[in-house]
Amino acid sequence: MSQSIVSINEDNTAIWLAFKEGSWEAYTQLYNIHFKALNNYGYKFTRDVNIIEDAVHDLFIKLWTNRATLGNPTSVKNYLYKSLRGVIFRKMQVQSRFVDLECETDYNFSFEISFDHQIIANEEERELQLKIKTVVKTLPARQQEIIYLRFYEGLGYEEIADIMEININSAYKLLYKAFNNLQGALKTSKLAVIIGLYSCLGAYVYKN
Amino acid sequence: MDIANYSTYTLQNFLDDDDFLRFVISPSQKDVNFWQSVTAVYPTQKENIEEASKIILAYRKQDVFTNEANQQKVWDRIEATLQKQGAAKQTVFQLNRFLRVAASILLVSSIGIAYWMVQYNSKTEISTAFGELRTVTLPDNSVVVLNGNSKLSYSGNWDKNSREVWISGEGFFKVNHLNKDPRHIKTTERFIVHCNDVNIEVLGTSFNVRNRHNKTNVGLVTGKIRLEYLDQKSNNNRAIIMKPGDYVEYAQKHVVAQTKLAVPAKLTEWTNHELLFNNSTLAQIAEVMADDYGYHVDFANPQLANLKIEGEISVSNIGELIETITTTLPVKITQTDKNITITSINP
Repeated sequence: MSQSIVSINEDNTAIWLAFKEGSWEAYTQLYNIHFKALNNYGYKFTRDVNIIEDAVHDLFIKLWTNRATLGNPTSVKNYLYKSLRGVIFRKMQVQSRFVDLECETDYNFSFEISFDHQIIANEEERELQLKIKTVVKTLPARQQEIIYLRFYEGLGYEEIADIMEININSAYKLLYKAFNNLQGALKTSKLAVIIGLYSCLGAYVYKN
Repeated sequence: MDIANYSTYTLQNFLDDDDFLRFVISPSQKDVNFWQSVTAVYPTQKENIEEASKIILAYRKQDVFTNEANQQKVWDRIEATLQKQGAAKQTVFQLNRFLRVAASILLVSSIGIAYWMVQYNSKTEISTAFGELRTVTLPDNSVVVLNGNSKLSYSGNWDKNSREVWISGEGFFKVNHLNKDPRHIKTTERFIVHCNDVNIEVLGTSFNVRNRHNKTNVGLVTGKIRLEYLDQKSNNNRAIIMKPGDYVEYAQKHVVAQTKLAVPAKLTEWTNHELLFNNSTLAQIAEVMADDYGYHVDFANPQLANLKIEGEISVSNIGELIETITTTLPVKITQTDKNITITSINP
Protein backbone atom coordinates (compact mmCIF):
# COMPACT_ATOMS: atom_id res chain seq x y z
CA MET A 1 0.00 0.00 0.00
CA SER A 2 2.52 2.60 -1.08
CA GLN A 3 -0.14 4.54 -2.92
CA SER A 4 -2.35 7.03 -1.21
CA ILE A 5 -5.84 5.70 -0.59
CA VAL A 6 -7.15 9.08 -1.52
CA SER A 7 -5.28 10.47 -4.48
CA ILE A 8 -6.96 13.79 -5.00
CA ASN A 9 -5.15 16.04 -7.45
CA GLU A 10 -2.00 14.08 -7.05
CA ASP A 11 -0.74 14.78 -10.54
CA ASN A 12 1.85 17.18 -9.16
CA THR A 13 4.67 15.13 -10.57
CA ALA A 14 4.97 17.24 -13.72
CA ILE A 15 5.04 20.43 -11.66
CA TRP A 16 7.64 18.91 -9.35
CA LEU A 17 9.90 17.95 -12.24
CA ALA A 18 9.59 21.40 -13.82
CA PHE A 19 10.35 23.00 -10.46
CA LYS A 20 13.48 20.87 -10.13
CA GLU A 21 14.57 22.11 -13.55
CA GLY A 22 14.40 25.63 -12.15
CA SER A 23 10.97 26.75 -13.35
CA TRP A 24 9.90 29.67 -11.18
CA GLU A 25 6.36 29.23 -12.37
CA ALA A 26 6.25 25.61 -11.18
CA TYR A 27 7.74 26.66 -7.85
CA THR A 28 5.02 29.30 -7.44
CA GLN A 29 2.40 26.68 -8.31
CA LEU A 30 3.75 24.27 -5.72
CA TYR A 31 3.43 27.00 -3.14
CA ASN A 32 -0.09 27.94 -4.12
CA ILE A 33 -1.29 24.34 -4.30
CA HIS A 34 0.03 23.33 -0.88
CA PHE A 35 0.05 26.50 1.22
CA LYS A 36 -3.38 25.98 2.78
CA ALA A 37 -2.94 22.27 3.56
CA LEU A 38 0.49 22.88 5.06
CA ASN A 39 -0.91 25.60 7.31
CA ASN A 40 -3.73 23.33 8.38
CA TYR A 41 -1.32 20.52 9.26
CA GLY A 42 1.06 22.89 11.05
CA TYR A 43 -1.81 24.33 13.05
CA LYS A 44 -2.31 20.95 14.70
CA PHE A 45 1.11 21.25 16.34
CA THR A 46 1.05 24.89 17.35
CA ARG A 47 -1.44 27.71 17.53
CA ASP A 48 1.40 30.15 17.01
CA VAL A 49 0.83 31.26 13.42
CA ASN A 50 4.25 32.92 13.31
CA ILE A 51 5.95 29.57 13.82
CA ILE A 52 3.89 28.00 11.05
CA GLU A 53 4.58 30.84 8.63
CA ASP A 54 8.29 30.81 9.48
CA ALA A 55 8.34 27.07 8.91
CA VAL A 56 6.59 27.34 5.53
CA HIS A 57 9.00 30.12 4.58
CA ASP A 58 12.07 28.10 5.61
CA LEU A 59 10.74 25.00 3.88
CA PHE A 60 10.26 26.78 0.55
CA ILE A 61 13.62 28.54 0.78
CA LYS A 62 15.25 25.15 1.31
CA LEU A 63 13.30 23.65 -1.59
CA TRP A 64 14.44 26.31 -4.03
CA THR A 65 18.02 26.36 -2.79
CA ASN A 66 18.39 22.58 -2.97
CA ARG A 67 16.12 21.97 -5.97
CA ALA A 68 18.89 20.44 -8.05
CA THR A 69 19.63 17.72 -5.52
CA LEU A 70 16.08 16.79 -4.53
CA GLY A 71 14.68 13.34 -5.33
CA ASN A 72 11.33 12.44 -6.82
CA PRO A 73 8.93 11.67 -4.00
CA THR A 74 5.98 9.35 -4.65
CA SER A 75 3.71 12.02 -3.26
CA VAL A 76 4.78 15.66 -3.30
CA LYS A 77 2.23 16.51 -0.66
CA ASN A 78 3.50 13.83 1.73
CA TYR A 79 7.04 14.98 1.14
CA LEU A 80 6.07 18.55 2.02
CA TYR A 81 4.15 17.39 5.10
CA LYS A 82 7.13 15.45 6.33
CA SER A 83 9.52 18.34 5.73
CA LEU A 84 7.25 20.92 7.32
CA ARG A 85 6.78 18.68 10.32
CA GLY A 86 10.55 18.48 10.76
CA VAL A 87 11.01 22.26 10.49
CA ILE A 88 8.22 22.95 12.98
CA PHE A 89 9.59 20.42 15.45
CA ARG A 90 13.03 21.97 15.33
CA LYS A 91 11.60 25.45 15.79
CA MET A 92 9.46 24.39 18.70
CA GLN A 93 12.24 22.45 20.31
CA VAL A 94 14.44 25.54 20.27
CA GLN A 95 11.60 27.52 21.74
CA SER A 96 10.57 25.14 24.42
CA ARG A 97 13.71 23.45 25.63
CA PHE A 98 12.66 24.15 29.16
CA VAL A 99 9.38 22.41 28.96
CA ASP A 100 10.70 19.55 26.91
CA LEU A 101 13.44 17.98 28.79
CA GLU A 102 11.41 16.12 31.32
CA CYS A 103 8.95 14.32 29.16
CA GLU A 104 10.61 12.00 26.71
CA THR A 105 7.81 9.51 26.37
CA ASP A 106 5.58 11.42 24.02
CA TYR A 107 6.02 14.46 21.81
CA ASN A 108 7.17 17.53 23.57
CA PHE A 109 4.26 19.31 22.01
CA SER A 110 0.64 18.71 21.46
CA PHE A 111 -1.34 17.57 18.48
CA GLU A 112 -4.75 19.06 18.56
CA ILE A 113 -7.70 19.01 16.26
CA SER A 114 -10.60 21.31 16.91
CA PHE A 115 -14.30 21.06 16.23
CA ASP A 116 -15.18 24.37 17.84
CA HIS A 117 -16.42 26.16 14.76
CA GLN A 118 -18.45 23.39 13.24
CA ILE A 119 -22.13 24.07 13.10
CA ILE A 120 -24.02 20.81 12.90
CA ALA A 121 -27.78 20.98 12.78
CA ASN A 122 -28.34 17.24 13.03
CA GLU A 123 -28.71 16.30 16.72
CA GLU A 124 -27.49 12.73 16.26
CA GLU A 125 -24.40 13.81 14.35
CA ARG A 126 -23.61 16.47 16.89
CA GLU A 127 -23.74 13.91 19.67
CA LEU A 128 -21.48 11.53 17.80
CA GLN A 129 -18.97 14.26 17.15
CA LEU A 130 -18.96 15.27 20.80
CA LYS A 131 -18.14 11.69 21.76
CA ILE A 132 -15.33 11.49 19.24
CA LYS A 133 -13.96 14.80 20.44
CA THR A 134 -14.01 13.68 24.07
CA VAL A 135 -12.20 10.42 23.42
CA VAL A 136 -9.63 11.75 20.96
CA LYS A 137 -8.65 14.51 23.38
CA THR A 138 -7.51 11.98 25.96
CA LEU A 139 -5.01 10.37 23.58
CA PRO A 140 -1.31 11.22 23.52
CA ALA A 141 -0.23 13.52 20.70
CA ARG A 142 1.37 10.84 18.54
CA GLN A 143 -1.74 8.69 18.63
CA GLN A 144 -3.89 11.68 17.74
CA GLU A 145 -1.63 12.45 14.83
CA ILE A 146 -1.75 8.94 13.46
CA ILE A 147 -5.57 8.97 13.61
CA TYR A 148 -5.60 12.34 11.88
CA LEU A 149 -3.32 11.19 9.08
CA ARG A 150 -5.41 8.07 8.60
CA PHE A 151 -8.95 9.39 8.76
CA TYR A 152 -8.55 13.02 7.76
CA GLU A 153 -5.73 12.86 5.24
CA GLY A 154 -6.74 9.34 4.20
CA LEU A 155 -3.20 8.01 4.16
CA GLY A 156 -1.96 4.43 4.07
CA TYR A 157 0.23 3.06 6.85
CA GLU A 158 3.38 3.19 4.79
CA GLU A 159 2.80 6.86 4.08
CA ILE A 160 2.01 7.58 7.71
CA ALA A 161 5.21 5.86 8.81
CA ASP A 162 7.16 7.92 6.29
CA ILE A 163 5.73 11.26 7.37
CA MET A 164 6.05 10.57 11.09
CA GLU A 165 9.53 9.17 10.50
CA ILE A 166 8.86 5.90 12.25
CA ASN A 167 9.04 2.45 10.71
CA ILE A 168 5.87 0.71 9.70
CA ASN A 169 6.03 -1.66 12.63
CA SER A 170 6.15 1.32 14.96
CA ALA A 171 3.13 2.79 13.18
CA TYR A 172 1.22 -0.42 13.84
CA LYS A 173 2.45 -0.49 17.40
CA LEU A 174 1.46 3.11 17.89
CA LEU A 175 -2.04 2.34 16.72
CA TYR A 176 -2.14 -0.69 18.93
CA LYS A 177 -1.20 1.54 21.84
CA ALA A 178 -3.89 4.03 20.87
CA PHE A 179 -6.29 1.14 20.83
CA ASN A 180 -5.25 -0.11 24.26
CA ASN A 181 -5.39 3.33 25.81
CA LEU A 182 -8.81 3.82 24.41
CA GLN A 183 -10.22 0.59 25.62
CA GLY A 184 -9.36 1.71 29.12
CA ALA A 185 -10.87 5.12 28.60
CA LEU A 186 -13.96 3.81 26.89
CA LYS A 187 -14.84 1.22 29.48
CA THR A 188 -15.90 4.04 31.71
CA SER A 189 -17.50 6.23 29.10
CA LYS A 190 -19.79 3.74 27.39
CA LEU A 191 -19.03 5.12 23.97
CA ALA A 192 -19.75 1.91 22.19
CA VAL A 193 -19.76 3.49 18.78
CA ILE A 194 -16.34 4.92 19.15
CA ILE A 195 -14.97 1.59 20.27
CA GLY A 196 -15.66 0.56 16.72
CA LEU A 197 -13.48 3.35 15.40
CA TYR A 198 -10.50 2.31 17.45
CA SER A 199 -10.93 -1.42 17.45
CA CYS A 200 -10.50 -1.23 13.74
CA LEU A 201 -7.13 0.41 14.23
CA GLY A 202 -6.19 -2.41 16.55
CA ALA A 203 -7.45 -5.00 14.14
CA TYR A 204 -5.12 -3.58 11.55
CA VAL A 205 -2.21 -4.69 13.65
CA TYR A 206 -3.33 -8.28 13.62
CA LYS A 207 -4.12 -8.26 9.96
CA ASN A 208 -0.59 -7.26 9.08
CA MET B 1 -12.88 -5.21 -4.51
CA ASP B 2 -14.93 -8.35 -4.27
CA ILE B 3 -18.46 -8.03 -2.97
CA ALA B 4 -18.31 -11.44 -1.29
CA ASN B 5 -15.52 -10.21 1.00
CA TYR B 6 -17.91 -7.92 2.73
CA SER B 7 -20.50 -10.49 3.80
CA THR B 8 -18.92 -11.01 7.23
CA TYR B 9 -17.44 -7.55 7.77
CA THR B 10 -17.93 -5.97 11.17
CA LEU B 11 -18.15 -2.25 11.81
CA GLN B 12 -14.46 -2.30 12.70
CA ASN B 13 -13.53 -4.08 9.49
CA PHE B 14 -15.28 -1.42 7.46
CA LEU B 15 -13.49 1.39 9.27
CA ASP B 16 -10.21 -0.32 8.60
CA ASP B 17 -10.78 -0.97 4.91
CA ASP B 18 -8.82 1.24 2.53
CA ASP B 19 -11.40 0.97 -0.21
CA PHE B 20 -14.19 1.86 2.15
CA LEU B 21 -12.22 4.80 3.54
CA ARG B 22 -11.69 6.14 0.02
CA PHE B 23 -15.38 5.74 -0.73
CA VAL B 24 -16.29 7.80 2.34
CA ILE B 25 -13.65 10.49 1.85
CA SER B 26 -13.87 11.07 -1.89
CA PRO B 27 -16.23 8.73 -3.65
CA SER B 28 -15.94 8.19 -7.37
CA GLN B 29 -19.03 7.13 -9.34
CA LYS B 30 -17.53 3.64 -9.49
CA ASP B 31 -17.25 3.54 -5.69
CA VAL B 32 -20.82 4.69 -5.20
CA ASN B 33 -22.08 1.97 -7.57
CA PHE B 34 -19.94 -0.66 -5.91
CA TRP B 35 -21.07 0.07 -2.35
CA GLN B 36 -24.67 0.31 -3.48
CA SER B 37 -24.37 -3.19 -4.85
CA VAL B 38 -22.80 -4.38 -1.58
CA THR B 39 -25.84 -3.17 0.36
CA ALA B 40 -28.10 -4.69 -2.26
CA VAL B 41 -26.47 -8.12 -1.94
CA TYR B 42 -26.03 -7.99 1.86
CA PRO B 43 -28.85 -5.83 3.23
CA THR B 44 -27.77 -6.69 6.80
CA GLN B 45 -24.53 -4.80 6.21
CA LYS B 46 -26.37 -1.57 5.49
CA GLU B 47 -26.33 -0.56 9.15
CA ASN B 48 -22.59 -1.16 9.58
CA ILE B 49 -21.80 0.73 6.41
CA GLU B 50 -23.89 3.70 7.44
CA GLU B 51 -22.49 3.72 10.96
CA ALA B 52 -18.90 3.51 9.75
CA SER B 53 -19.30 6.37 7.31
CA LYS B 54 -21.00 8.50 9.97
CA ILE B 55 -18.04 8.06 12.30
CA ILE B 56 -15.47 8.91 9.65
CA LEU B 57 -17.48 11.87 8.42
CA ALA B 58 -18.08 13.22 11.92
CA TYR B 59 -14.37 13.04 12.67
CA ARG B 60 -13.57 14.75 9.40
CA LYS B 61 -15.94 17.60 10.12
CA GLN B 62 -13.27 19.49 11.98
CA ASP B 63 -11.94 23.02 11.88
CA VAL B 64 -9.62 23.88 9.03
CA PHE B 65 -6.95 26.50 9.26
CA THR B 66 -5.92 27.65 5.79
CA ASN B 67 -4.27 30.95 6.73
CA GLU B 68 -5.31 32.15 3.30
CA ALA B 69 -5.20 35.78 4.39
CA ASN B 70 -1.43 35.52 4.76
CA GLN B 71 -0.69 33.40 1.71
CA GLN B 72 0.56 36.39 -0.31
CA LYS B 73 2.44 37.89 2.61
CA VAL B 74 4.42 34.70 3.26
CA TRP B 75 5.13 34.35 -0.46
CA ASP B 76 6.48 37.92 -0.58
CA ARG B 77 8.79 37.03 2.25
CA ILE B 78 10.02 33.92 0.44
CA GLU B 79 10.71 35.99 -2.69
CA ALA B 80 12.53 38.64 -0.69
CA THR B 81 14.73 36.05 1.05
CA LEU B 82 15.62 34.37 -2.23
CA GLN B 83 16.35 37.71 -3.86
CA LYS B 84 18.68 38.63 -1.03
CA GLN B 85 20.46 35.29 -1.35
CA GLY B 86 20.74 35.66 -5.12
CA ALA B 87 21.97 39.23 -4.83
CA ALA B 88 24.64 38.22 -2.35
CA LYS B 89 25.88 35.49 -4.67
CA GLN B 90 25.99 37.77 -7.69
CA THR B 91 28.02 40.51 -6.03
CA VAL B 92 30.63 38.04 -4.89
CA PHE B 93 31.00 36.61 -8.38
CA GLN B 94 31.35 40.02 -9.95
CA LEU B 95 34.19 41.10 -7.71
CA ASN B 96 37.65 40.61 -9.14
CA ARG B 97 40.39 39.06 -7.13
CA PHE B 98 41.82 42.25 -5.71
CA LEU B 99 38.46 43.49 -4.63
CA ARG B 100 37.65 40.15 -3.10
CA VAL B 101 40.81 40.19 -0.99
CA ALA B 102 40.17 43.79 -0.01
CA ALA B 103 36.58 42.99 0.84
CA SER B 104 37.53 40.06 3.01
CA ILE B 105 40.15 42.09 4.86
CA LEU B 106 37.58 44.80 5.41
CA LEU B 107 35.03 42.23 6.52
CA VAL B 108 37.40 40.51 8.94
CA SER B 109 38.59 43.77 10.43
CA SER B 110 35.10 45.17 10.81
CA ILE B 111 33.95 41.97 12.49
CA GLY B 112 36.96 42.33 14.77
CA ILE B 113 36.13 45.93 15.56
CA ALA B 114 32.47 45.08 16.10
CA TYR B 115 33.45 42.21 18.37
CA TRP B 116 35.80 44.48 20.31
CA MET B 117 33.08 47.08 20.66
CA VAL B 118 30.57 44.58 21.93
CA GLN B 119 33.10 42.96 24.21
CA TYR B 120 34.69 46.05 25.74
CA ASN B 121 32.57 49.08 25.16
CA SER B 122 29.27 47.86 26.44
CA LYS B 123 30.50 45.48 29.10
CA THR B 124 29.62 46.21 32.66
CA GLU B 125 31.87 44.70 35.29
CA ILE B 126 31.27 44.60 38.99
CA SER B 127 33.73 43.15 41.46
CA THR B 128 33.78 42.95 45.21
CA ALA B 129 36.68 43.17 47.64
CA PHE B 130 37.40 40.48 50.24
CA GLY B 131 34.65 40.37 52.82
CA GLU B 132 32.48 42.77 50.85
CA LEU B 133 28.91 41.87 49.93
CA ARG B 134 27.21 43.81 47.20
CA THR B 135 23.71 43.68 45.82
CA VAL B 136 23.56 44.34 42.09
CA THR B 137 20.38 45.17 40.20
CA LEU B 138 20.62 44.10 36.57
CA PRO B 139 18.99 45.93 33.62
CA ASP B 140 15.97 43.60 33.76
CA ASN B 141 15.56 44.20 37.52
CA SER B 142 16.91 40.79 38.41
CA VAL B 143 19.01 40.92 41.55
CA VAL B 144 22.40 39.37 42.26
CA VAL B 145 24.00 39.35 45.68
CA LEU B 146 27.75 39.10 45.15
CA ASN B 147 29.89 37.55 47.86
CA GLY B 148 33.35 38.85 48.67
CA ASN B 149 36.14 38.52 46.10
CA SER B 150 33.74 37.89 43.25
CA LYS B 151 33.25 39.31 39.80
CA LEU B 152 30.11 39.70 37.73
CA SER B 153 29.97 41.02 34.20
CA TYR B 154 27.35 41.37 31.54
CA SER B 155 27.18 42.89 28.12
CA GLY B 156 25.07 43.22 25.05
CA ASN B 157 21.62 44.33 24.35
CA TRP B 158 19.12 42.73 26.67
CA ASP B 159 16.22 44.15 24.69
CA LYS B 160 17.05 41.93 21.76
CA ASN B 161 19.20 39.07 23.03
CA SER B 162 19.15 36.64 25.90
CA ARG B 163 20.10 38.03 29.25
CA GLU B 164 23.64 36.79 29.78
CA VAL B 165 26.01 37.26 32.70
CA TRP B 166 29.44 35.91 33.57
CA ILE B 167 30.44 35.21 37.14
CA SER B 168 33.49 34.12 39.07
CA GLY B 169 33.30 33.79 42.81
CA GLU B 170 29.94 33.44 44.45
CA GLY B 171 26.60 35.00 43.75
CA PHE B 172 23.00 34.48 44.69
CA PHE B 173 20.64 35.17 41.79
CA LYS B 174 17.04 36.17 41.93
CA VAL B 175 16.04 36.22 38.28
CA ASN B 176 13.06 38.16 37.11
CA HIS B 177 10.62 35.91 35.31
CA LEU B 178 9.66 37.43 31.94
CA ASN B 179 8.18 34.43 30.16
CA LYS B 180 4.43 34.20 30.17
CA ASP B 181 3.80 31.27 27.87
CA PRO B 182 6.11 28.33 28.63
CA ARG B 183 5.32 26.78 25.26
CA HIS B 184 6.81 29.76 23.47
CA ILE B 185 9.93 31.12 25.06
CA LYS B 186 11.47 34.14 23.39
CA THR B 187 15.23 34.55 23.44
CA THR B 188 14.89 37.73 25.48
CA GLU B 189 13.13 35.74 28.17
CA ARG B 190 16.11 33.49 28.80
CA PHE B 191 18.68 34.25 31.45
CA ILE B 192 22.04 32.57 31.15
CA VAL B 193 24.83 32.51 33.72
CA HIS B 194 28.25 31.50 32.44
CA CYS B 195 31.03 30.27 34.66
CA ASN B 196 33.98 28.17 33.47
CA ASP B 197 32.59 25.29 31.47
CA VAL B 198 29.14 25.52 32.99
CA ASN B 199 26.18 27.44 31.65
CA ILE B 200 23.08 27.88 33.74
CA GLU B 201 19.97 28.64 31.80
CA VAL B 202 16.91 29.89 33.59
CA LEU B 203 13.65 31.71 33.07
CA GLY B 204 12.96 33.03 36.52
CA THR B 205 14.26 31.42 39.69
CA SER B 206 16.57 31.94 42.61
CA PHE B 207 19.76 30.00 42.93
CA ASN B 208 23.28 30.16 44.24
CA VAL B 209 26.44 29.81 42.16
CA ARG B 210 29.84 29.35 43.71
CA ASN B 211 32.76 29.20 41.36
CA ARG B 212 36.19 29.00 43.00
CA HIS B 213 39.38 27.19 42.04
CA ASN B 214 37.78 25.82 38.87
CA LYS B 215 35.07 24.20 40.93
CA THR B 216 31.51 25.27 40.38
CA ASN B 217 28.71 24.58 42.83
CA VAL B 218 25.16 25.37 41.93
CA GLY B 219 22.28 25.16 44.38
CA LEU B 220 18.71 25.87 43.42
CA VAL B 221 16.32 27.50 45.88
CA THR B 222 13.19 28.08 43.80
CA GLY B 223 12.05 27.41 40.24
CA LYS B 224 13.79 25.28 37.66
CA ILE B 225 17.11 25.66 35.90
CA ARG B 226 18.98 23.91 33.17
CA LEU B 227 22.63 23.33 33.84
CA GLU B 228 24.73 22.74 30.77
CA TYR B 229 28.30 21.58 31.18
CA LEU B 230 31.16 20.23 29.17
CA ASP B 231 31.63 16.58 29.97
CA GLN B 232 35.24 15.53 29.58
CA LYS B 233 34.62 11.84 29.00
CA SER B 234 32.36 12.32 26.04
CA ASN B 235 33.67 15.79 25.20
CA ASN B 236 30.05 16.73 24.70
CA ASN B 237 27.81 19.25 26.27
CA ARG B 238 25.54 17.61 28.78
CA ALA B 239 22.61 19.07 30.61
CA ILE B 240 20.96 18.56 33.96
CA ILE B 241 17.57 19.89 34.90
CA MET B 242 17.63 21.04 38.49
CA LYS B 243 14.69 21.31 40.83
CA PRO B 244 14.46 23.21 44.10
CA GLY B 245 16.89 21.84 46.68
CA ASP B 246 19.15 20.22 44.07
CA TYR B 247 22.83 20.86 44.53
CA VAL B 248 25.40 20.11 41.85
CA GLU B 249 29.15 20.17 42.20
CA TYR B 250 31.18 20.37 39.02
CA ALA B 251 34.97 20.22 38.75
CA GLN B 252 37.63 18.99 36.37
CA LYS B 253 35.07 18.80 33.62
CA HIS B 254 32.68 16.41 35.23
CA VAL B 255 29.89 16.44 37.73
CA VAL B 256 31.46 15.46 41.05
CA ALA B 257 28.34 15.27 43.13
CA GLN B 258 24.63 15.73 42.82
CA THR B 259 22.80 15.99 46.12
CA LYS B 260 19.52 17.15 47.55
CA LEU B 261 19.65 19.84 50.20
CA ALA B 262 17.41 19.45 53.22
CA VAL B 263 17.01 23.18 53.65
CA PRO B 264 17.75 24.96 50.36
CA ALA B 265 17.25 28.36 51.97
CA LYS B 266 20.54 27.85 53.86
CA LEU B 267 22.33 28.41 50.57
CA THR B 268 21.56 32.07 50.89
CA GLU B 269 22.55 32.67 54.49
CA TRP B 270 25.84 34.18 53.48
CA THR B 271 23.86 36.98 51.87
CA ASN B 272 22.88 38.12 55.37
CA HIS B 273 26.55 38.42 56.23
CA GLU B 274 26.39 35.07 57.90
CA LEU B 275 29.10 32.47 57.75
CA LEU B 276 27.47 29.09 57.67
CA PHE B 277 29.18 25.73 57.85
CA ASN B 278 27.80 22.27 58.28
CA ASN B 279 30.02 19.36 59.37
CA SER B 280 32.93 21.14 57.74
CA THR B 281 36.63 20.44 58.01
CA LEU B 282 39.12 23.15 58.88
CA ALA B 283 40.34 22.92 55.28
CA GLN B 284 36.89 23.84 53.96
CA ILE B 285 36.55 26.66 56.49
CA ALA B 286 40.00 27.95 55.61
CA GLU B 287 39.07 27.97 51.95
CA VAL B 288 36.05 30.19 52.54
CA MET B 289 38.13 32.49 54.75
CA ALA B 290 40.68 32.80 51.98
CA ASP B 291 38.30 33.07 49.04
CA ASP B 292 35.65 35.35 50.46
CA TYR B 293 37.55 37.35 53.06
CA GLY B 294 41.14 37.30 51.81
CA TYR B 295 42.70 35.60 54.80
CA HIS B 296 45.79 33.48 54.48
CA VAL B 297 45.50 30.35 56.58
CA ASP B 298 48.51 28.23 57.54
CA PHE B 299 48.38 24.88 59.29
CA ALA B 300 51.38 24.10 61.49
CA ASN B 301 50.65 20.45 60.83
CA PRO B 302 48.86 19.57 57.58
CA GLN B 303 46.79 16.94 59.37
CA LEU B 304 45.04 19.70 61.30
CA ALA B 305 43.24 20.61 58.10
CA ASN B 306 41.28 17.38 58.37
CA LEU B 307 39.82 18.22 61.77
CA LYS B 308 36.10 18.48 61.51
CA ILE B 309 33.60 20.54 63.45
CA GLU B 310 30.50 18.42 63.87
CA GLY B 311 27.18 20.13 63.41
CA GLU B 312 26.37 23.58 62.21
CA ILE B 313 28.23 26.83 62.74
CA SER B 314 26.49 30.09 62.02
CA VAL B 315 28.46 33.21 62.85
CA SER B 316 28.40 36.76 61.59
CA ASN B 317 32.10 37.51 61.28
CA ILE B 318 35.59 36.03 61.14
CA GLY B 319 36.29 36.90 64.80
CA GLU B 320 33.36 34.81 65.95
CA LEU B 321 34.37 32.05 63.59
CA ILE B 322 37.88 31.89 65.07
CA GLU B 323 36.40 31.83 68.56
CA THR B 324 34.11 28.94 67.64
CA ILE B 325 36.99 26.97 66.17
CA THR B 326 39.23 27.41 69.19
CA THR B 327 36.49 26.47 71.65
CA THR B 328 35.39 23.34 69.80
CA LEU B 329 38.69 21.97 68.52
CA PRO B 330 42.02 21.36 70.30
CA VAL B 331 43.78 24.09 68.30
CA LYS B 332 45.32 27.46 68.90
CA ILE B 333 44.94 30.28 66.39
CA THR B 334 47.38 33.14 66.07
CA GLN B 335 46.55 36.07 63.85
CA THR B 336 48.59 38.89 62.36
CA ASP B 337 46.43 41.07 60.12
CA LYS B 338 45.05 38.62 57.58
CA ASN B 339 47.57 35.90 58.26
CA ILE B 340 46.27 33.10 60.41
CA THR B 341 48.22 30.18 61.77
CA ILE B 342 46.52 27.17 63.26
CA THR B 343 48.58 25.05 65.61
CA SER B 344 47.78 22.04 67.71
CA ILE B 345 47.39 22.49 71.49
CA ASN B 346 48.78 19.04 72.32
CA PRO B 347 51.99 18.63 70.41
